[in-house]
Amino acid sequence: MELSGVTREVSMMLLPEAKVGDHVLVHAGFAMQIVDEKEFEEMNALLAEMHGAPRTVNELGS
Amino acid sequence: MSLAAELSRAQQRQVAGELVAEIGRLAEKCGRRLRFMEVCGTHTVSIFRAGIRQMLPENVELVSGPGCPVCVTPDEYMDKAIAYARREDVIITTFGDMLKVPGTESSLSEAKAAGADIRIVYSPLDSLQVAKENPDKKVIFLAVGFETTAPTAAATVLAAEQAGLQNLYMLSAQKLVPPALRLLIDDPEVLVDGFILPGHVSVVTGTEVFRFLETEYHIPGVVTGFEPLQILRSLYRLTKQVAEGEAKIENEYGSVVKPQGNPTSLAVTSKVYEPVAAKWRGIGEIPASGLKMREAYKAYDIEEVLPLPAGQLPATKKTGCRCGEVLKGIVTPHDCPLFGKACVPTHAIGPCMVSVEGVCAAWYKYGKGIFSYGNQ
Repeated sequence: MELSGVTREVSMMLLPEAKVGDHVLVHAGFAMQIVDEKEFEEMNALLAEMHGAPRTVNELGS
Repeated sequence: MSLAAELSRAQQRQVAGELVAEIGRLAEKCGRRLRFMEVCGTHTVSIFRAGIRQMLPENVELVSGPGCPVCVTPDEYMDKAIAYARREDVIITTFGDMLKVPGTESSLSEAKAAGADIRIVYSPLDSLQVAKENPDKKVIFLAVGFETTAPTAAATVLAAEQAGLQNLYMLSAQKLVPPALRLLIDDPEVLVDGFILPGHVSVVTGTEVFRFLETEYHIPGVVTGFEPLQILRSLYRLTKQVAEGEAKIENEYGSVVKPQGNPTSLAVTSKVYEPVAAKWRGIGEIPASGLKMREAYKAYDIEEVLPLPAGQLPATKKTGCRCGEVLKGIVTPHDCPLFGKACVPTHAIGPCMVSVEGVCAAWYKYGKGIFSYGNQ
């Protein structure tokens, strides 16, 4: 696992579904969740919503 | 891609400005001052670092709740950890922020200076190697944290079991967030219009565990991440809900928080641990707000294997520290007679000043002499 350029061993015990190449959130040496790269789209959707567009982001995530 | 990487500084500033203006406009509609609470130490630090309290309009106030795991760990736990650390046959493994937390009479850092074998680890799993290399010692990991850390301790126990290690133990003081939220809402002194819900806790628990805010209390809650823009987004959502008379649980951290959380983590925690009443520093005992090891894993619970004689722990004493009220957002650190005087980061009396995620430490570091202390 590469963390900001540093390579470190991370346990996959709590996230067995992750595959090589996935971006994951790490806490205390354990991979905890696969990161979906949708932050930017969500922000744009929210800005559009503030300007009167209908809500497109799911209320409770995907 | 994170927002900070995707947007230029100028763009981020513009988006922040739009969000703040919209928050102000919506709050105006409510006709009173709104009060939102964050219950995660990482949020606390991010809010102070980015100056979000100062950025918000007059009619929106932020308060910090009991979100720093070190801060809610009671004196007695530290006293037990210190008593174990002083034993010749014990090695303590711990996250670094526990070292300076004051117990009743001393701290782990003082015990270490006096010769105790205390090792800072990055992951609880690092304790396995220490245990393997020191078969004649009892290795005790200080398992402190919220729902995010509990599965890492539980997984370490399972790994120790699998490796056939007989000398690795946990001294557990894990805490659960939802019961603490209930206690806060039920306290008539705590007035909150909505919660910024913890991002990393929700990664593990999912969002459903917070549904009771909506159904039982009609209080909105929004899960979010730790970048300043993510926090502003959650405040926009919260203000909008209050302005529209709604109370829903929303997720503004969908990139890592799923409704079902991380099922493997939840299963691992519940295999090793079961809920139990737990003491929170300055707050007291909260039913079903902690975790203790199940019968089947008692052999890994140091308090079962090697109980401390009652006389070995110091009697509790009062210091005048108002940590408990600070943790509930009832008073600000400034209302504490010790803050900034007897209690400073280099000589902390209360845990809120010890941990970098503590409310007092954040006030001291980011507030002193620079800002007007938010909207207080």
